[in-house]
Amino acid sequence: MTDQERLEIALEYAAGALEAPQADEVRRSLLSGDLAWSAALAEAEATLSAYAASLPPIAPPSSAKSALMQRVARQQSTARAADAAPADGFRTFRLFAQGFAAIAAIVLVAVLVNVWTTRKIDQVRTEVAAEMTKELRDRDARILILQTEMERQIKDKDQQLIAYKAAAEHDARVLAALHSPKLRVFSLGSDKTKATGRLLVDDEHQTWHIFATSMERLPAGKEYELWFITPDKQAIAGGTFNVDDKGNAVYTVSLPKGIGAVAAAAITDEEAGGVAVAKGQIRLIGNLN
Amino acid sequence: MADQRSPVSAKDDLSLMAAMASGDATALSVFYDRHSPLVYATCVRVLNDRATADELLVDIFHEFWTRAGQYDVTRGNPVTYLLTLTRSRAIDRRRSMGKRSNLKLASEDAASDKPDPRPTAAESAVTSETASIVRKALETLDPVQRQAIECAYYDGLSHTEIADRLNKPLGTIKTYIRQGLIRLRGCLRNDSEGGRAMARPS
Repeated sequence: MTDQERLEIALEYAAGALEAPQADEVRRSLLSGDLAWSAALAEAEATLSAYAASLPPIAPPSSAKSALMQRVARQQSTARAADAAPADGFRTFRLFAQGFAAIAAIVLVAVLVNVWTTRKIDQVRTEVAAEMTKELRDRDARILILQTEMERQIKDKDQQLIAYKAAAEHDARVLAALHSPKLRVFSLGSDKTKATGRLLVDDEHQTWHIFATSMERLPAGKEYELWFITPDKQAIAGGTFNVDDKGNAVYTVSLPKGIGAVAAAAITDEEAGGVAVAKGQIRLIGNLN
Repeated sequence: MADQRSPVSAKDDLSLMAAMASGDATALSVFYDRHSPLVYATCVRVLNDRATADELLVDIFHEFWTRAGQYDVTRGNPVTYLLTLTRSRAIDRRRSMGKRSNLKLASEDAASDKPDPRPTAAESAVTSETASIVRKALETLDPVQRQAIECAYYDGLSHTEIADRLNKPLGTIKTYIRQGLIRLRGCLRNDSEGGRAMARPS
């Protein structure tokens, strides 16, 4: 179809002269966005508007314009009212919504901060408590160790003190015995070992002081036992003792009451704690006559 | 006879369209003053009823005002748009009124008359020069040919209906209408290409 043919059809279409099927066909072409048809129709309408303009103008009644402007004014007023009402309502709603949202946001932030703070405080509290508990436990443990150590040291010191006291008492008794005018001194010896000894007999205090040297260290479960030998050859147990690392021993013993005369002294190795009848080997022996 | 009023330029009408699109009722008032006589004349011509034409005039300008924001400048100048809308609404109103039979005589009477030789009224938006060109073009047409175009444009009749009304063969009517419109367009184009002020409605 040429432009001229299209324009002629458009003129007839614009003039309303086309039959319905033809008019529909043109309408479809226009609706399809065909620019050639759009241009042809625009030119046709311009031509026909010029045709319409050839009519002698007629002044309309003034009432028509009044009616038009009143209708427009009403329309604008209604539109403004319609716009304003929802606007006010919407503004109120928006303000409410914004306020609510702000409050909700603040509350939410406060809740979150509170939850976070609470959790943090609990966490810190738990950590501090655990740390303090651990510290206290460690301190208690250290205190317990120190206490135990101090108790042990005190006990050791007490034992040392007791030992020192015993030694002092023993030394005092030995010293007293050495100053006694009734002191007698005897030697103790052995045919089989290098062990030797001295026996100080303090008749004033009815006490014997034995100083032994080069004694063999006995195995566990064994102790040295002193025997008082009577003139009728009876051996009466006089207690047990041990030697130190150098094989020396100092043993002090009170004479049993009613023992009578003692002819000799002997030291044997026996079961720990002593025995009633001597069974072990004689390690030191000496006569008192 | 030349119209002493200042010509209305398309730019002015376009400015008014823009103002109307933004809700300026004053622009509508000015636009109405410029073009209502021609719109009203068209309504009266189609409806042949002043009271109905009064109502339709208000309806057309109100619709024009309402649709100002949808105006597509590529479809033609505002007056072309206005007159196209006017013809369409007038034909619709005429059909709804069922007055076709009554209008037949009026149409025929109008078609039998020569175009009004009177100069354009001062209120018209179209220059007298344009109207003169169109009238001269129409004068060159055969009365039946002119009548056929009027039946199509003002009465909204189809080729077949016009052939029936004018008692002419359908082919003849088609030829009449097509040749008449082409001649009208040719006259307007020649006028424009002749360097004279284009008398397009605006």
